[in-house]
Parts: sequence; C-alpha cells; structure tokens
Amino acid sequence: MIKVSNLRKAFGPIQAVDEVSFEVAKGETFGLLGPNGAGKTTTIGILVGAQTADSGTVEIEGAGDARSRQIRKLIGFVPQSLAIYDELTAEENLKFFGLLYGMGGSELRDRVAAGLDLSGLTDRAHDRVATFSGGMKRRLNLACGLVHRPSVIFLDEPTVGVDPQSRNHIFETIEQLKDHKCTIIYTTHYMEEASRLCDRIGIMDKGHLLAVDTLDSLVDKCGGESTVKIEFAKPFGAHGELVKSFKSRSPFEEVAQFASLGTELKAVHVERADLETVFLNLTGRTLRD
Amino acid sequence: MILAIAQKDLKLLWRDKAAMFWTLGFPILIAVLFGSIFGGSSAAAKIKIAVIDQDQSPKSERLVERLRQKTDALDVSTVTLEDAKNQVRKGVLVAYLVIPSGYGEHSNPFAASQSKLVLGIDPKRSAEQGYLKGILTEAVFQELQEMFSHPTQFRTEIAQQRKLIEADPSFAKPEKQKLLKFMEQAEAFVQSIPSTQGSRNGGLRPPAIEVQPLGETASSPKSAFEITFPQAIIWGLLGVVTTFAITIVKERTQGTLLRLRVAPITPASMLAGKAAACFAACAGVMVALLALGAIVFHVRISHVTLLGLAVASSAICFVGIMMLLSVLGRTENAVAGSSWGVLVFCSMIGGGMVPLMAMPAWMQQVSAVSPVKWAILALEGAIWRGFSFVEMLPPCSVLIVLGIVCFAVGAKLFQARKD
Repeated sequence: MIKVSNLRKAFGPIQAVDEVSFEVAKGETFGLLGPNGAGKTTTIGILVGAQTADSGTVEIEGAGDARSRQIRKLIGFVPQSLAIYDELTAEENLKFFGLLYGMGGSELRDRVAAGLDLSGLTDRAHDRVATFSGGMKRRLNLACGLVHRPSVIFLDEPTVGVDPQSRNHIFETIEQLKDHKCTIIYTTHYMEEASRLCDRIGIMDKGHLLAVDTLDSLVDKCGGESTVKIEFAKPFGAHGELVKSFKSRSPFEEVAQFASLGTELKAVHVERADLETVFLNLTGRTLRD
Repeated sequence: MILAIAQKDLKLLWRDKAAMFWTLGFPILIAVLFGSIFGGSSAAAKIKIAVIDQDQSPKSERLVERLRQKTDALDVSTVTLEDAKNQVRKGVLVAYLVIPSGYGEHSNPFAASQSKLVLGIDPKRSAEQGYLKGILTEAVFQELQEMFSHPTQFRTEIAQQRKLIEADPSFAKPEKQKLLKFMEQAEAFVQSIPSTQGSRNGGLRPPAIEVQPLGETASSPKSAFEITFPQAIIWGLLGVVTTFAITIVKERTQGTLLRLRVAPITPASMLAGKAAACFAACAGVMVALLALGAIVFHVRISHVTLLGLAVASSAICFVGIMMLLSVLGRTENAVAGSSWGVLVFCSMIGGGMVPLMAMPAWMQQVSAVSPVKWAILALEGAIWRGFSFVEMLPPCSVLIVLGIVCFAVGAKLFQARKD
C-alpha cells in the first residue's frame, strides 16, 4: 500500500507539486492523468526517492519512504526517458540492473532471461542497445525496471514515442503485472491508457490533484451530461420530428421513456462523457492544450 | 555493487573507440614520436658501417675486431665492396671502410710506404665523417700502443722494418742511413727492456688507470624515451579523466543516474564504483605504457616498488580530479570542454609538453601548482631519477592529498545537484 500525504515540491517560483494526497491499495493500479507539466513526474520522483519533497510524507508498504534501502528493494521504477546503456547489450543492461538489486547466480540468470522474454528481445540479447529501434529500447527500459521482481512499480509515461506494436506489448506486460497483484502507479497523458489499465485515476493539473476515483465515478461526478441522438422510424411529436438530440445525465432512462410511448425507434446514439470531458470540466481546458 | 558499477564503466570505456584512442593510442604516439624525434635511445644513435678487409692479415683482423667492439658507437657489418657502395648510396649504411691488401705490412709508422685505409662516405655527412675518422684513428693507435707494450713484438717489427728500408730503392742514401741509425738505437733501447710480458717492467705501457666500479646513479635519462613515456602517461591519464568525467554527466543526461539513485545503493557506493573504475583505468593505462616503454624502448625501471607507489598515487590524484571536473558543467560538451581546458593547462605548466628538466628555474617553481608536475616527478623518480623512498614521499604525498581533496569537493558538489 502507498500513502501520500500533503506532498509539496517547488522549483524556484514554480510550485510543481502542491498538497497532493492519495492512497493506493495493495495490488491496485493507480493512474495519474494530466497534461505535460502537471507535476506527475515530480510526484513519482519523490515517491521513488529520486527527489526530496519540500513537505509532506510518503509511506510505502507501511514501512516508510524510499529513503529506506529495504523499501527501495521493493520498488521497480521505469522512468519517462530511456535509462539504459546504449553501449551495453540488452543482456548486459538487465544483468547490471539486477546486480544493483543484490541479485546473483542462477536467480540473476533466470531473471535476465525472463526480462529478455518480457521485452521480446531474446533473439537480440547480445546486441548493443545502440542498434535497437525506439520501441525495442522502450521495452528494454521497462524490463530493466522489473528485472528484480518488484512488488511496487512506478511507471512514468512508459509508452511515450512508442509504435503501436510496442505499445500493445507494454500494455500486455502491465496487465500481467496486475494479474500478479503488483501495486502500480502509472502516469500518462493518454486517457485511453488510463481507461484501459487503471483501477482508479487521479486527475492532475498544475501541481494539484483535482480528483481521484474510478473511471465510472469520475465520469458520473465530473463528466457532465451525455449527448443522446434518437432516430425515429416515423415522424414523432407535434412537429413530426424524425431525429431528436438532447443532453441528459441519465441517457438510458430517457431513451427507455421514449420507447415506452410506443414510438418505433430506428437508431439510438449515446455519447457518454469521457476522461477528456472530465478533465475539461475540472480545468476548463483539454488534456492536449 | 561497487564492483558491478566499476565493471560496467570499464566495459563502456573499452567499447568507446574514441576514448580508447585518447587514453592509449594517442599517448603511445606521443611517446614514440617525440622519443624518436629527440634522439631515441643510444642504440638508435649507432653509425652503421661496412668493413671490407682486403688484407686478411692478423693486423687487419685485429683492426676489424677493435671496430666491432665499439658497440656503443658503431654497427659493423661485412659485405662486398660493391654492396657496400650501393648501401651507402641508398643511405642504408653511413659509410664503408676498405682495409687494402698489404695493410698489415705497411701500416707501421716507420714503414717506407704506408697503406691507406679508405673511408667511403657521402661528403654531406661531415659530422659522421669526423666522428668515424676519430674512431678509426683510435683503433689504429691501439695497435701501436699494444706494440709498444710488448717488447718482443716491437723488436720483431723493427727488424722487419729495417729489412724493408734496406731493400727500398726509393730512399736517398743519407736518408736511409739516418733511418737505419734510428732503428738501430730503437732496437738497442727495446733490447734493454725485459721481454717478460705482464711483469712490472715489461715494455712500454700506457698510463695505468684504475677503473673504480660504482653503482649507476641513474640521475639522468639514458634515452629520450625515458622522458617521453612519463609525459605520454600523463596524456593517457588526461584521456581517462576526461572520459570518466563525461560519463558521470552522461549518466545524468541519459537518465541512468536516476535509476542508480533509485536502486538500493548509497550515493557513496555509486561514486566509489565510478572511482574504482577510473582508478583501474588510470593504473591500467600507466602499466600498459610502462610495459611498452620497458620492453620495446628500453625505458629503465630503476625501482619497481617505488614505481608502483608512483602509479598508485598518480591514479588516486587523477581520480579525484575526475570527480571535480565532472561537476564543472551540466552537459557532456561543457564538461568535455572545461576538462580539456583545465587539464591541458596543467599539462603545459607541469611538464606534460615541455620536459620539467628543460624548463627555466622560475617555470619549475610555477609548475608546482600542477598535479602533472608531481605525477611526472614521481614516475621519473622511479624510472631514471633514482629516487629513494624518502625522496618519493613529497611528490606521492602531494598527489594523494590533492586527489582526496578534489574527490571530496567533487562528490559534495555532485550530491548538491541531486534535484
């Protein structure tokens, strides 16, 4: 379990993280969604111990923060930018990061083999990373953060600049980690990724954590009304309408009401609010602004 | 973990071809090139000559043997006259010497007609010509000296010469009589000397010179390579230091430093790993260059243990300097530029370019501020200066203290840049 309380961090006049608090349950995948510069990476940096907070506390697995060596052993970190050695081979990279976590012998060999398999690079194990494509490097970057089999994993925008094939590979890897009940904190500015992978989502902007909940609850609470478009088989109502569009907080109930009037419905389109709408409603701007 | 970091860094250095050139290839070039330009070793200064002995007499053979014994000055070969001329024309040989037929018989100073030794040499080589004439004169006079030292041989020689003078019709009568008179008196004088060789009064002997064996002090370099190899080592160290300083910044810019910081290792372990790799690389470069110098270029190692001390203290010093330089900039280019700037300046004033012994006195005083000076002094101390352990202490202590101070300051600044 991860408990974050009143975290603050400023870089000069810029308040990068401002009173951020949230909790992540054991085995849960928690997404931090927000545009670039929202404070997600700084928050993750503090959580993994790479940066020091100005104030606030972090507690991981009930045993303190990442300054503790024992906690660091539990943590797996995949940074946003590639953090692997170009002049080493894929195998040497995995082995080096395994050694840093105190692994050795057959355990290290097995984990390196598993890492190569996970990243789909078994055939390129002895090739230098400098010869890899961007997607292959991304997959290796992910595998290096997982080589020591961590139980708490921090993934900082792991799919940035990745081709669709490698992106799917990464998603499958994360879904496997979820199946293994790993606790995951995942930052992204892609709402599709957050929708697909995360059990709960925190919306961040300008250092503030604006809302935290499940996808459905966020949409219900902050998404606003859905857009409903009904096409009738015959002219309907006093004006003889063939199409009717309206907004509703309970679209399916309203559609049911039309159906109960005995009117023949040719087609019904419901555009439900999504995370983009949630973000728009919370901040007044879109995720890609 | 320290070992893992050190191994990784050494592997990265080994795979960086440019870095390997600057740490090993470039220093070797400097040592060999400048060593050769400034004269190289004494072996390289030998004059190659060919001797054509047309006389084949005991006397001519003794002359050839004497020339062969001058191994420090001459490289004597035996070829035909035609080959010798060709090789001199091509510059393979500096000169050839012909010992003509009849040399043995007519080389005596009292001989009526003397045989001439022929020295074939390019007239432009006036310096070598003068040098060779001197060596030849010395070798010929050694024969006379030996003759005077052995009365029996001298008497035989005089008798032989008397016969030749008497039989020679080219002499005028008064001249012949004067010469024969002189020979008679000389023979009488020699007969008054006991003929026992080796006795106290045996023959005319050269001044007695006693050679007192004295251990070599090694206080001056025997060849230019003994100067250029310590300088080359400095250039190798500069290459290692710059490369490692850049790799520390590179860890930051390529993001791997973030992973290292998140890993369950202390910052001290991380820096210790870097320092261990840099130390191993510095020591490795020094040992490789010294081995090359000793095996191929006959650079003397006058004291192996003291050389080990010089290598270790130099490596410590330059590891510290590397740590300090790595925080001089935030980008690889900034660190590379500032590192080369600082190190080349240190090298210039410290004897890395112009040998310390060739610097004016005031410059030698100024050079004390450069770690390069102390590293060269320590290395030369163990190579040719013949330093004792006590004499090695000042340069080695300066290097170690400087290394520790630089490392501490550099590590502190590195830590301060955490965020």
